[in-house]
Amino acid sequence: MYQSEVDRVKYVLVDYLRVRLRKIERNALWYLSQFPDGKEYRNNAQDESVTVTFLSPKELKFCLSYAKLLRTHMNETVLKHMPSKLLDNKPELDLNLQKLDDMQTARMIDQPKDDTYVLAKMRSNGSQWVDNGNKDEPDFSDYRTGHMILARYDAIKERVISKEIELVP
Amino acid sequence: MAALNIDDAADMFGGMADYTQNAYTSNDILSDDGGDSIGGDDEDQNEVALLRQFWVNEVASPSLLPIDVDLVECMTLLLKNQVAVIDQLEENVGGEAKDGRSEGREARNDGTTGAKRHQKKHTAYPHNSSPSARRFAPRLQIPCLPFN
Repeated sequence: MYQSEVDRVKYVLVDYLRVRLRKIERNALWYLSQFPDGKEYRNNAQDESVTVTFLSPKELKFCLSYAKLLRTHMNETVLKHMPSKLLDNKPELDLNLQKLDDMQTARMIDQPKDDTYVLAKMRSNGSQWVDNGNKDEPDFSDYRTGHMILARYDAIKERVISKEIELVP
Repeated sequence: MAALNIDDAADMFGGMADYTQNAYTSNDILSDDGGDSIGGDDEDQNEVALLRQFWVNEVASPSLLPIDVDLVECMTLLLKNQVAVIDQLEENVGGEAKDGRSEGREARNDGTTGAKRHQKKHTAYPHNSSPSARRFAPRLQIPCLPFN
């Protein structure tokens, strides 16, 4: 019993880190462009600056090395063989693949699909929530603790981060 | 934009809300107050429940969520300690089983009958005898982390 309980917690911990690594691999360039040092600096409702850690130091190191490998691979296999006129003299073509290297063109970098719909569970009454300034957020004032909802992820992301909503896999 | 309330929608189809709630709780690997036998105090239980909550959110969300580095380091340390404790327990139990085996060997050499020898053999190898003895028998160290 004791061993199996330890194995369960170990599985949760390992799977948690593995899921995060999978996401980092999928969108490494985008995460680096958003969080160059792995952290996001924002103001909370009381207008105090808060630091939110999105990448741990080890994950940041992994992300940097993975992005470096990816950029090298892209340069060697694709960009190196592109006609020079596409890269330098035709900005109107909107390709600008060279800029992939200096992280200026988010259009060329895959982003996480935050506009998907997710199942979630209310962890507190919606009527007690403080407005976080998100205009896309649905009106949760009628929803109580334990209610299940289906909503766009980007609309409720801040509530998930502040632990007012729990996602259901 | 309005969110769809699953509970309200399910009421229209004959109480599916109960099903969704039950399905969610029964699918949990750890309960909300998970880790009863780990650590043993409330602080550890809270950490396990917190880790479970982070994990569930991370699995379900399409993008990265903030990470609590202290929590992950703390849980790693806790698991290492627990594994060391279990190893120690198994070592102790293994030592007792070894003693039992040597007793069995002595019994075979002292001219006892077959039935008695059989009885002795079972006490010498506890994993072959009663379920309670089997529970305390030394186990093989098999890595049991499931991989996708």
